[in-house]
Amino acid sequence: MKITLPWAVATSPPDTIRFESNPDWNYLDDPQDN
Amino acid sequence: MNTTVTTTQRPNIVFIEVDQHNPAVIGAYANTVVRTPNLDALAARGIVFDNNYCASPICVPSRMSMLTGQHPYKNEVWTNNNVLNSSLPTFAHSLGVAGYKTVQIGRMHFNGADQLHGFSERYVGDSNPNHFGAVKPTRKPSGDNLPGAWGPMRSSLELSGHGMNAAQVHDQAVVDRAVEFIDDYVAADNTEPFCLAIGTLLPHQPYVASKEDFDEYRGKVPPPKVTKAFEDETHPYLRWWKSHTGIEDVTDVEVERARTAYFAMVTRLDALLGTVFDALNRNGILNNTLIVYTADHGDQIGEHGLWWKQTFYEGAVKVPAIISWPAKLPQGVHIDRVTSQLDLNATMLDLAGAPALPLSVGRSLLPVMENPDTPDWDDVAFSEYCTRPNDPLHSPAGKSWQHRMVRKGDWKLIYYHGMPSQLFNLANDPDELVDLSSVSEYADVVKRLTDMVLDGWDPEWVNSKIRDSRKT
Repeated sequence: MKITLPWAVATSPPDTIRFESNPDWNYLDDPQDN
Repeated sequence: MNTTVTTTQRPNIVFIEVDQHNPAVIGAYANTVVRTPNLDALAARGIVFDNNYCASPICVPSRMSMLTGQHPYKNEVWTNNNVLNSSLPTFAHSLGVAGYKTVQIGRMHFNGADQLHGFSERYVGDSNPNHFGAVKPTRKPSGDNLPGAWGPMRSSLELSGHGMNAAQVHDQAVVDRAVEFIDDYVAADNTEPFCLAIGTLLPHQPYVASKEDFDEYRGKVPPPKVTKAFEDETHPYLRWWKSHTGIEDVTDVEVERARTAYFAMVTRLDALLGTVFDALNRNGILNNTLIVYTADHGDQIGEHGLWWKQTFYEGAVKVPAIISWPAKLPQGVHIDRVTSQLDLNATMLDLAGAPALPLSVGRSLLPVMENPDTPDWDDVAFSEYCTRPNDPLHSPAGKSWQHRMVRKGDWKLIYYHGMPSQLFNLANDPDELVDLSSVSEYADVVKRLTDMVLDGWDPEWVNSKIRDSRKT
């Protein structure tokens, strides 16, 4: 989506601001005791 | 001190709202274990408010109250699913009117289609469950390698330790983008000031920190000061909450591991924010930038046998408030007056010369900063926690909660609708060990503070509104 209306050119399209968290970013080291 | 602000002196503003930072885990707030050199330096260059309270001890209502200067019962955002009415002005609208370029980077936890609420630009964004149309988180989301550890439940303590959580990845992206924004803005030689709102997810649970950070605190983090066995928990709400979230029998190993990770996450957060302060300094604009540091709520981190927030003990409802603007404001000052998150909103607008928000009840802190002993400041703060019936995370089946707290001077009263209140004298009992609500000697205090809580706030009205409130 591209915003072209002059009054809104400084507005970021809402679908560009979603941060897709990757499940692989959530983990515990194995093992925990070292 | 001359704090009159002319339009040519208007500061840039960096408003930092992190997630779930208990101010007791900051060096500048007298913690001698945690390492927070950047926040400590910010405090040394500014003013630390020691008794600042959030408007609700849960993310979305706290944040929407901060933005609008209105309490939840006024802006009707009580839960993490409620949508802020886009017709309500925020401090970003006001700063825009005053000629500021308003940019939001990272977390703000807006629900619904309006992801700007007065900001003209937004980058990076939140983690995806907070966005309209995204998949809602569940207790056991498939594909999540730390199932349930993001929520208020026992699994967040079981699945704690060293590793990685998405919050750190998100927050690295946030500060990288903030540094890029600052560099570009100065390079472009803009004449209009900017308001850069930075939102991080750290140090929210999961209590998982990178090994490098975790190892710094291994064996060094003390146990909670106030322990309370489940069988000694007498208040019906707190007893239900502990049982509902499965924390009746948290092990010593879990307590130490989760607290160690929390301290480590705070230090990581501090380092990330340091890159932003470095960028301001490198670009020569640090001294004329108003920096406000705060959080949406705290974290009990095991005190009183509690974790996360959703209560009105100090660990959950008190939030950091550090205000730095070396060009204009005093430096290295602690102020122990009672203040509210809503006051930070009004203060930023006041210092920026922006119009006050018409419906805000926030009060500019400028008179207190000029004279911390001023008799004209009312030492009062309110906070509110209300839930929807059938919210499986926060309400019992078929029921809902309406709680409200008032801090007035040394006193704190916590009103639980339909249940006994709690009363603490924080001057004599800062750890909130002795509930004085049923002591006849203090009946007049209970009456006076209860009247304050119920003045304009009707729990039955809240309950009727919250059932039909806008939500994602």
